[in-house]
Amino acid sequence: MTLRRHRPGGRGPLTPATAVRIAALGTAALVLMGVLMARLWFLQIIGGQAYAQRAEANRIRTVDLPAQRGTITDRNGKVLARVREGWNIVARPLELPNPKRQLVVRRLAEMLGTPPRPMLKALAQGQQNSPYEAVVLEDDVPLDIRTAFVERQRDFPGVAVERSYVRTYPDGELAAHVLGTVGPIYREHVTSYRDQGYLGNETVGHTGIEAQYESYLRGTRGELRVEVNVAGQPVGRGILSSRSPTPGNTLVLSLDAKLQAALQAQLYQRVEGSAATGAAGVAMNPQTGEVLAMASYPTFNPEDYARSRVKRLTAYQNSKRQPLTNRADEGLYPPASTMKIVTLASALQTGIVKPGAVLLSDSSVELWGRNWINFGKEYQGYLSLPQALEQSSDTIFYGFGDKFFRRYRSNGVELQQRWAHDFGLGQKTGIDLPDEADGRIPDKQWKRTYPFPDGYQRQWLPGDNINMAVGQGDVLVTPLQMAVAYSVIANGGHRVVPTLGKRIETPAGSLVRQLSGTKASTPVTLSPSTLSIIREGLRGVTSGPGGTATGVFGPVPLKGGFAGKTGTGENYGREDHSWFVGYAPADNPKIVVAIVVANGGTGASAAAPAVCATMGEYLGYDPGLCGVAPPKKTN
Amino acid sequence: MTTLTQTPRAHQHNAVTERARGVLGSVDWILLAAVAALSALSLYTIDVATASDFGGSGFYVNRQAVFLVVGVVVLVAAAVFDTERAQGMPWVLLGSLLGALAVVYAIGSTVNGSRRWIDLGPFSMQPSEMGKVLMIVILAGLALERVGEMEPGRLTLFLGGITVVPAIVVFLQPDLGTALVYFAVYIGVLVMILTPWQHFAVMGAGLVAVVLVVMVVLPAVGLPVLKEYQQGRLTSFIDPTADPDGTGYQINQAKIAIGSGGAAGKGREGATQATNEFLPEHQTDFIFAVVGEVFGFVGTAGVVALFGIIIWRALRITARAATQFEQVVAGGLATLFIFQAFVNIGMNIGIMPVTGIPLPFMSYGGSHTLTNMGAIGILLAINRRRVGI
Repeated sequence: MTLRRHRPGGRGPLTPATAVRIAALGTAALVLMGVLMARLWFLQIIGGQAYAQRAEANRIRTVDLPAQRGTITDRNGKVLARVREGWNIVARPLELPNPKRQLVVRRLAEMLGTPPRPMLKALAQGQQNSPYEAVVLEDDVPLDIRTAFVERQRDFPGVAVERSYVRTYPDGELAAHVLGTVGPIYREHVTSYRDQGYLGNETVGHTGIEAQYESYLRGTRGELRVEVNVAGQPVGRGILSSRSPTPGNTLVLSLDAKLQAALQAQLYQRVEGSAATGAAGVAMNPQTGEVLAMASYPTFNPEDYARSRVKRLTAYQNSKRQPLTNRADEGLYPPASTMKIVTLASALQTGIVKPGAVLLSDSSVELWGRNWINFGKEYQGYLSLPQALEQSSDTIFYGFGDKFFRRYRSNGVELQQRWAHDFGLGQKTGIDLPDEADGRIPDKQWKRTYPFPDGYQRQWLPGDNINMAVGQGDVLVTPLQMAVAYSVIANGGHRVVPTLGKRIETPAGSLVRQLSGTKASTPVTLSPSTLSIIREGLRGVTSGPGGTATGVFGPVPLKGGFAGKTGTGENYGREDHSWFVGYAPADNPKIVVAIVVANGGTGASAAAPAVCATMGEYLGYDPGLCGVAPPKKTN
Repeated sequence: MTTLTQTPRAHQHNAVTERARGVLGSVDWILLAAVAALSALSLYTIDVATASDFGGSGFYVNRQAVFLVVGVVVLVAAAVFDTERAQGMPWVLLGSLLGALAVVYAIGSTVNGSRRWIDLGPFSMQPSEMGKVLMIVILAGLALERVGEMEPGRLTLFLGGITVVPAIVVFLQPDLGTALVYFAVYIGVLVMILTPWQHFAVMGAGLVAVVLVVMVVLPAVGLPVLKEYQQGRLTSFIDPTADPDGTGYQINQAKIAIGSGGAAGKGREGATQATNEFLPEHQTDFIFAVVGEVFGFVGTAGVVALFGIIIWRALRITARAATQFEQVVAGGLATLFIFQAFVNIGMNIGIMPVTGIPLPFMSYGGSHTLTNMGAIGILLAINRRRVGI
């Protein structure tokens, strides 16, 4: 053993070599401690703020309080859609700890006359899931129970009555297509909604007005900030702060609920029990563009969407009757003879025909090597221009189409199309609905590019102009577009932008934003003689001896009279589309109505009586006075 | 050789009084003060960390207080015992350690999938913890029997072989952290017995090679040595996202706790990471993070400084030890504190892998408290022997 032994008072075994080793250990310790101190400085002094935020994010959980969606009313304040203000008796498990819970719930059960066990079970379950969110103990309590509860509130600490918010529609299917639907955010849209500040589980407007005015209707959700532990359970300090939700604004529509109901009743009547497959109608103020009624049939119940009744929704989706399509602004139909006011106005304004012209309405006319037949092969003799409208001569209008083609061939200007667009046809009207259709006014560009089958004649032909002159061929319009076009005649030369929204109000009723009357109309240049010829013709349709709808409107003693036009859209082998577009009173137009009954027959037989009856609701005459269509087939 | 001024009454002092006076005079009060400060901070921090645990903080604080009391007894016993007497019995001690570890295998209780404890009624004992100090004594005894007689290279290998046996047993419990501590004290003993520096260089290179083979090469050829979770623990401190739910989560939460403490800490009420249970193992392996959250940089720097004091005093005692055996043991104990403190704190602040090594005098736990208290007692005994008492 080479061990040195220490004796009291003597030197220890420390040699220079071991001293170096001890120094090495000390140095290593110093270096390692330096590393620790540097890292701690970095974490706590430099990174302290950032880590503090992450610690806050860990401990604070935000509970969202949904906002009450805004109410939608008609122009007179009649509620069309609101949230159901059911009263729920609720308790937050967090605020009702257990010894107290048993007592309070038993007392509550006694008052409600229900067994306490389900309530205790619901509370226990809520405690596990999210203890700071309200658990519904009893939903939709009647008013007397609510009153009794409020009076005895002191007996029920930790229990409260709270509103529950479910979209509801007091009149069911009334204005369903206009209002549209609400429901949970579709999974594929969650990200884009989140970008707009939504939560993934919120209810939003999907279609119609609900979607169009979503930003006004949604309101602002409130929140509750709660301190939680790692399991998400609230701890000690519990609720840190809270902010109440702000309910959404009220949207006042220009719709008139009574007129809307009358229009819907008419559409229902025209479709059910007939061969018609669907119908749509629009009633509008021709001076301002305010839409007074807009409906489509078959329809649906928006409540099915608000309540997410999946079976019903699937049935709507799969139905061949397409109940979800708003045919009034999305349905496309050939306008047929209702187009003739546009053809006549453009022919007069471009000098294709003189105002005083008297023309032969033969049973047929030969143009460009083809025989064009008058409706019903009827010979109508020589007619003035108003008479040509009144009796809906086709052959005279074929002649206008022919002349438009010759103009086009000589200078390449598509006059007929330009005028159709001036009247608002074949383009969006700009109404405040999200899914409006364009429609189509065919032109040479369209013919060249449309995906016809191979070998189709893509050249612009005389027949294209001739067909367009009577609203047939490739022309497609919506009922809403026709209402706008007839407003131009009714108001003396303004293409209005139709509007459904009238104004936005706070829930308390003060104005947030005026919506109607804010979109400028576009002037359409029509000479006084053009206007008076067309107006005279339209009055003749409803009252003249040869008027196609005299049988319907003639019996109604309305001061100022009616103006309008029938239309019978050819539908290639199936039953014709029945059109009527008109306004009244003719000398001071207050309402313009356009109705189409798909596969409903002639204009006079289905659409005209529907328009007559609908107007009666608004103008105050008895709809029962409206006559029936004459037996003679007219367009 | 007394320097005390003799009063007339002092003549009547008997030998026992004289010896007690000498013992007290030899005590390293600075060392004890640092240990006492850490122990007191430990009780307070355990109370904060476990206040919202199931059953409240009383359970852990009371038990840790009992551990401290028993620890003080162990400390006094070790301080009174002449360490040198253990020099002649390395084989007996090694046999005892291996025997205790074998008992764990036979009747040990399993916690968190690891079989480390012997059940003793209300408490349980972890023999591998005692092994940390025992290994120092064993290796020092075996080394000094052979130093100068055995060729240095063979001696290094021999001592390495001795270390590997209990280390493997502990590693298989599995308890990677304690096994690593055994190698750390082996290195400490080698340093103190003047092992040539080249050996450490070779071992360093070897360590790098072993890490590469175990962590990269063998798994790549389909022969993993470590279980997947062990590998994840060892690498997640570099990239916490590699194991975000396991140790990566622990490291993240520990860093958030420490970082959010800032300069002066968030105090007891604001320590939400610890009290709202975001920080796992907040009273044991991650107690340093609780200190960081409650007391901020002031607290963490203070704890590091207290360990600095303990290491300084341990090295001071090493330098002044009476015999070479005691010197090697003291140096080994200094290494033990350096290694445990650095690895545990490093794990808390995300610069060392999560290996489950407790922080001496701070972490809740009986066996390691007793072990570290015993280590302090041995240091005091070596200091006492220096003055010949």
